[in-house]
Amino acid sequence: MEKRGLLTWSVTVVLMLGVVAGCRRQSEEGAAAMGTPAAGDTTGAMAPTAPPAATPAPMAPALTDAQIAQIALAANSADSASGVLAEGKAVAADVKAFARRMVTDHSSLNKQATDLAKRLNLTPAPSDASTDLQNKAADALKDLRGKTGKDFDKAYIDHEVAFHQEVLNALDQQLIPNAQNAELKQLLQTARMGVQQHLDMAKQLQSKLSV
Amino acid sequence: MLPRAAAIGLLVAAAASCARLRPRSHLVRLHDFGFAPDSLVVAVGDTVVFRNDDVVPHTATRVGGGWDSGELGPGASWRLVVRRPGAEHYYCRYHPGMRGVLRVR
Repeated sequence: MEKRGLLTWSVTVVLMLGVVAGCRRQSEEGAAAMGTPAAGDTTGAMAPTAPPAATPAPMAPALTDAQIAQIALAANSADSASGVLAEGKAVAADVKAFARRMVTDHSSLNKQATDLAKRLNLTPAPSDASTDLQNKAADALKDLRGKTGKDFDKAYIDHEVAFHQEVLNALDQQLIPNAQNAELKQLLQTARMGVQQHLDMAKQLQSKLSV
Repeated sequence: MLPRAAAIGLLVAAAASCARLRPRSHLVRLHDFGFAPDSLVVAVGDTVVFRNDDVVPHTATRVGGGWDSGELGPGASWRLVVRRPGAEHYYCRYHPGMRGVLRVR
């Protein structure tokens, strides 16, 4: 009696499993027929009503280490140049001190980048990104030269906030992810910490100047 | 037999006590625009060596005054002998976001 009960129970379980599996197959087939690919279906062959996939926008080619080195050098040189100008023109003592720090830090970072490029036998190469950065920096410097007194201080600090934010974004989205050489990547990561510090310092001065 | 054992016991205790009291040296690296470690427990009489392993100059300066390394260029180091118990908060004068604390027992 017990044996028969057990047999009946096993048959019931097997039948239930069969029904569930059948339902699942049917549901997947139904979904495919409705134009919705079933899970794991990557062919899309069963979706005749779906609109043709849009042509993906061309992606910017990944930067090479030589191009990354050039961008890093251009960024450091640009901020050193505006710092030298501000050391001479700023009227507020804390803006002058900030400018002096930018010259010292970005000159040191540039020396590290130049030394590393030499050691790695890497010749910095221009790219659209480095040219764009250099053009923007030249325009900003020209604009700053035309200002004096408190107007200069405010324009310089506003520029520093925008510039460091832009460099930080470039480091996070382009330079660090694309760097292939481990030492270059490490230097970029160190530079990132510095750029973040500079950005915080510039923002603090910006709040102070706007009061 | 007992006096000999007692003498050895005393010697061991004295050595252990001596080891506890001997001033120690600790290293704080200035690295990647930060102090590492940025929190350190030390004892009165210990020495803390601040070593700049970064690519730019920094300082190690007590908040509120009292001690200051002055400018430490890349590769330079400076020693501080801790004299008083309590929390010694410090920062870099050039990069005020760099902060650390010595908890002196």
